[in-house]
Amino acid sequence: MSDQLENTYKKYRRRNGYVMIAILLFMILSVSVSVCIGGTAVGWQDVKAVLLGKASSSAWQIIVNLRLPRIVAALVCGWALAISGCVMQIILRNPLASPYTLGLSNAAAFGASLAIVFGSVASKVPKSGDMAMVTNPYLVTVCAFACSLFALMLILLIARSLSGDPQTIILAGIIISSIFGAALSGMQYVASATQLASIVFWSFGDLGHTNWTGILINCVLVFPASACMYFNRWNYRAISAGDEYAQSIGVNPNRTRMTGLTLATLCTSVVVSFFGVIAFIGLVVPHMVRRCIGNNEEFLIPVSALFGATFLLICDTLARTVLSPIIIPVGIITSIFGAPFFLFILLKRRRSHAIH
Amino acid sequence: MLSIDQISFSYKETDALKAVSFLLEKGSVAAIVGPNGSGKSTLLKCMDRILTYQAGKIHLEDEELKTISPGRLSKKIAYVPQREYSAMPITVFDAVLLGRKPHIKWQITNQDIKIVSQMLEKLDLSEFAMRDVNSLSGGQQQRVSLARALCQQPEILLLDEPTANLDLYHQIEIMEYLTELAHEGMIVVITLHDINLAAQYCDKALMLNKGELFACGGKEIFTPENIQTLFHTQVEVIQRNDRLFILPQRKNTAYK
Repeated sequence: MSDQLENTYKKYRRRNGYVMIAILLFMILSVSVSVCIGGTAVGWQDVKAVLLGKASSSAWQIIVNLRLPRIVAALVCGWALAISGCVMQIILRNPLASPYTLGLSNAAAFGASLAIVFGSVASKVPKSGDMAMVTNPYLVTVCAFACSLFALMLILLIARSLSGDPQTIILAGIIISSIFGAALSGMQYVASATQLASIVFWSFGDLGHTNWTGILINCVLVFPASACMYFNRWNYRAISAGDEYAQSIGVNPNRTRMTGLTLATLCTSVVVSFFGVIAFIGLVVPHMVRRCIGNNEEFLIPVSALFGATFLLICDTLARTVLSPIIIPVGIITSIFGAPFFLFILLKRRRSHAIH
Repeated sequence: MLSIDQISFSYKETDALKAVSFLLEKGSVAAIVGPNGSGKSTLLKCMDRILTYQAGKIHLEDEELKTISPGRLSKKIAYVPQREYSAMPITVFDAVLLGRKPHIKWQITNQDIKIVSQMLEKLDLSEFAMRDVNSLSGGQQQRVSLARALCQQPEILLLDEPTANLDLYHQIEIMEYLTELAHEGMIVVITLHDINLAAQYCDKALMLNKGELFACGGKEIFTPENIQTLFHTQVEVIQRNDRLFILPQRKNTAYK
């Protein structure tokens, strides 16, 4: 009997391994498709030529300088938001937690608005005249990042001076969120029409204005932080079973929670600062994955990251192709396509009592 | 051997434990009894360093508990909390596998899976292995917690009210099993509200009252006087074939 049980569990682990490989392959497929479709048609021949370094300058320009940065940005951003959401939900023991639970989106948006209003970086697009653009995206990014780090510091301070339990941290996040929300409204009130348009557009989330340097900065922060989060997977599972129990198996719950929060918010801060607020992924991707592979952190963390990356890439590809040449902000697409998809999964699994 | 020497603990200004001392031998079941708020759970938590005692010493063999690293301590002492809840669904197997955490270095091994499978079978949980823990009954969840603690392969097992959610059959089942574990050489410490269970199964009883060790010893300390002092209830202690039965008396006998 126990042999049978052993085999059942091993089979379950193998199955989860296969799911992980399948999502990885699907991600590679999505990248290949995404490179080829868009405003200008690019064929396999051009992609092959780029890989061999023999491409024409226009094909090189489109693939290497326009599409690939956008694709990689979508992957990194989706990865970071999903993994942060996943870890937040585990360590705060709250299925409604997301990378934005602690008020980071409002803090980053406030930072961006600060740069847009006082840094005089907003101007009208010369040709169309009615669209706003940002002339110095780096200033906006730096300000957004600084403000979200400031929010993180405030939360850690509040959490540490109080008991440090999950509910207190969530309440601290709500407080921080409303303070920065009010400050953001204030900035919008004093902004000019062009500045206001820039602030609103920034908060939609957009992967278009990116370059390789920005992506590199993201990667340098996101991937080591992800590795740390994966390394701590057993500690996260321990604190999700209760602080006292975690302590009894040698895990320091407060330290684990604080480092987990710092890593997750750092990941979120950097992608939000570069790409704006992209909703839905951090909250829902971990739930989608949980429903497919069960609540096993060993698989949940990496599969959430991979699926988040793929999901955002697909959404972004849709965003730039559905109404081409108009590019829809990707945050709108993630919610429009993601919400019904999630509802479908919820309804499909509702009847099943067992996890599998 | 576990020796507790003058342990004191206070929550801010409230003294929960006042200079409690006793000794536990290998292979024994010890029951901590006492009224609500007498410090039973606090004592148990101090013994696993979930709470850090402010005064006194606890020695496990020759080592002071505070000098043992949390990782090493978790291989020696396991704790089964009174109640817990999981916000997210988790399979019984995964929940019990967490008990292997102190032994896992980077990845779980086939050995870990084997130990968990055997433990689930032993505690009659095989059929629920891939079910969500939250979908089980209180008693089954209690057994999951016990299985998880036993997967730590500890020398000392601390249980906070292990029979609280169990029906009569499972109460006896668990107590028999704990006795069996003790006979294999483990030290088992249980907090109990049911003094009858304590009197039936423990080798040593510790009576706590307002944070102080009121009485400590074998079954002979279950006297009507001691129990009345602890619980403010008159009882009759009946001895039959070497077994003790504690029968509380009704305060108001007008309604029969």
